[in-house]
Amino acid sequence: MLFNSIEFLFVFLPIVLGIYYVLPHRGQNAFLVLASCVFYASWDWRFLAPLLFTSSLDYWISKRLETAKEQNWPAQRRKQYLLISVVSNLSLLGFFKYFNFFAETLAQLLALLGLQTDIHTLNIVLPVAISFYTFQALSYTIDVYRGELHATKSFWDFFLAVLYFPHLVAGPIQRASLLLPQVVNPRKINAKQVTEGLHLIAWGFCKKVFIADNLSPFVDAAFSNSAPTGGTVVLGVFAFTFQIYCDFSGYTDIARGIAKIMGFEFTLNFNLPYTALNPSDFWRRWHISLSSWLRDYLYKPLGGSRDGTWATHRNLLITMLLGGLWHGAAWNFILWGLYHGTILVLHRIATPGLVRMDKVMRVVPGLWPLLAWASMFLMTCYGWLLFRATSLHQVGQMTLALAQPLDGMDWAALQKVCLTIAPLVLVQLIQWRTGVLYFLDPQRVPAAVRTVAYASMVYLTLFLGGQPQSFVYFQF
Amino acid sequence: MIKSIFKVLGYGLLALATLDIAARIDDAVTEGAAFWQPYTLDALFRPSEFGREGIPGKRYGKWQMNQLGYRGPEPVPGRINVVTFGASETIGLYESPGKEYPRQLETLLNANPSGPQYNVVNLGLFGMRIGRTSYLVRGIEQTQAKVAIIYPSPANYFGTNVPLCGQQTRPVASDMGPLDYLRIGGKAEQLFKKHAPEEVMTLLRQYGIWRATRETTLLDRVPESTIEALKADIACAARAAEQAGARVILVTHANYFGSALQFKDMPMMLAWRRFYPRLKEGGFLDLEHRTNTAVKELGVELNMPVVDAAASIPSGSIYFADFVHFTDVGSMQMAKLLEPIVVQLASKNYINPE
Repeated sequence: MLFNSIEFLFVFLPIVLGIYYVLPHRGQNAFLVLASCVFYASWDWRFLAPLLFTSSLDYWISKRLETAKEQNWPAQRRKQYLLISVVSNLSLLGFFKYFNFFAETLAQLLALLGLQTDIHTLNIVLPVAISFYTFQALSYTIDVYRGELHATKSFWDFFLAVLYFPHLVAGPIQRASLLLPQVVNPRKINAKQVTEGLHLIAWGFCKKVFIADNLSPFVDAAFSNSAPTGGTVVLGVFAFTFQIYCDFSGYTDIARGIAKIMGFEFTLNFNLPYTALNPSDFWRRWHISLSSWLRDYLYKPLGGSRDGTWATHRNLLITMLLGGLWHGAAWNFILWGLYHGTILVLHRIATPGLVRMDKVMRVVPGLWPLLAWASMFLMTCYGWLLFRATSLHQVGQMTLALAQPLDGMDWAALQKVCLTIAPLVLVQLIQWRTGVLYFLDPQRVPAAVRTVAYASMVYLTLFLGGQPQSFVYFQF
Repeated sequence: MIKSIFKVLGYGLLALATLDIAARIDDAVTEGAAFWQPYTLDALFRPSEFGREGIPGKRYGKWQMNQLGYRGPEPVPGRINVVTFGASETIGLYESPGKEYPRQLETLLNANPSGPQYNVVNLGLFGMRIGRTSYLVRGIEQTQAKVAIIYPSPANYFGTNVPLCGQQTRPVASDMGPLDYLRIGGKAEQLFKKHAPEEVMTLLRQYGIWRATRETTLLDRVPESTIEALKADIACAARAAEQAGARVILVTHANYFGSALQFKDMPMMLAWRRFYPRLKEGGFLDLEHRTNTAVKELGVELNMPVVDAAASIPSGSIYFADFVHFTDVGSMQMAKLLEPIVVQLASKNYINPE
């Protein structure tokens, strides 16, 4: 059941909201568990099993950790509990997501060495959202272990925090420290929240249905072209840069909007990522819930930037590589992670020089930020080529084609792509100039302007939407 | 309180105006439609001495009129002309652009570049009764057509007991309502039809039929006088075409259901019945059967070839997009049935097997 499906929009959500609003707090929670189970089981009810396993295990371990803290158990024993959680969660994720990939890779490596093997891959169906809820549950146990959070007493509260349908399938990855108190304590819903929630939902749908879905055919055509020219690659990658952003941030906005109208607050997941001026800036703006998760639960435990330059660079590369691998079991995701790790490292190395350049370039106001923005945008675009490619061969082929970037360019198609992204550019310019993401805030924007803007969004979504597509991040 | 109501109404109107302007910009950018004029299927036609006729050069969506006011490209001089005469099945409704059966027939006829080349001129008009012979004759005379294909739509005769042929035809005014001037209305309706679940559409149709028939008597079958009127009109059109210099092909009427109505096809039958609610479901296939018998009888009487599309085009959704309108595959099937007969008639080598 996708957010952009008829059954979700016109059956599931109205029923859920209708019942939710009339129930008392505990009833709301129980009902949300049920509704979220129905939502998740709509893909395949069997997917509930690993989710239930993860949640039960992390709930139990967190309780043990809490007891350990209260009763001053030895640190070693607490660590063992944490280890059980980490190993179990990652094993589950590894089995479902990476088993076949590593088995095939091992077989290929052995074949290269002349060793014929009989490694069988399994017919594994990847449970929807496993990468998201595994990280979410894991962060809870780690936070309790670190003493940053008290273990919750109620399993159902914890289960709801993991299972809550708006964020379940593609995030934003919610920290238990943020979400659990909202589950445990009664929620208050006010008009401001509802207005902002509806705003997020409307803009999220517009981004997904009008922009991302309309860009999809251009992207598919470019990435299924067996003999790509520079022009087709530039067009395809440019379109994908906006498709993936609008698809994922559209989903996130809808999720945040639905949560808001139910009285929940989710973390911000995107903050104008394509206005980033350097790689660090980009990762502070793109998929914030994942990048901050990786920072807090991987980069920092690895040592972060505490142990000198080279260790910092190593930690960055490892974090980004694993971040890439989190997206999927394929070499192109690993390459994408490494690529971003490398540009992060290179940026750190070049920072002193760049600071000097910045001072020199100030003679022409705005030029240096413009150059920084343009180069970061182009680097991001190339990263998306690595991300979207279906094989390393395709990466090579498309990269080589970029030597002549305008060769075979379909200018009419490029014009359509530019027209499609025009509303996004307009909105983001407003958001960037004002520094406010809530661009139709009733406090700042007159009602007539908001009416016209909402009606325009409705038109773009309902009448000019592309062929309905699944959300790109659902596969992760 | 009143102030608040006016405020809400005002913003509602503003939203509606925005949506309508957005629809107009959309039509102007994607289809080159005029910004202020109505842009509906109905806008393709104007009242005329034939009742209604196409406006030369007018376009709406995939429907493009040529300079003669017929759907399709301009006829190429020097080719053999063939005209197709019928209602929405002929002018084309659901087929992709250029895939309506007259166009597919033209493609088949011109497949051999060294052979004779043809123009197939599509005289089809939505909802037209086949007895509008003056319109057919004008088409034949305009194009000097050698062959006329007559494909009657029996349901258009429902409620009629007298032939149209020979009657004075009055110009039929456009039936655009005030809502047609609101561009967003039509778009919203199309959107709803496209996305509403079939069960909802069926329920709405059942309700519409119930409302239209709760105070009238239902008919099990159309009266014989209707079939007689239809038969007289087909005969009249065929004779008029022949007198105008064209050789005539009569075609039986094909439909989605075939010869018998099956339970699984009831939603589709309801979709058809919505247009003629007084006739019970069983009456439609009876009307089709009796009309097709009449067409075959006329073929013998008038010594004209009959293409039995009803028997030759399989029923179901591969060939039909709805109850009677073709899919691209269905219209190709129709074109394949017609092509050999057209070639024989045009080369004057046709011998009626009867």
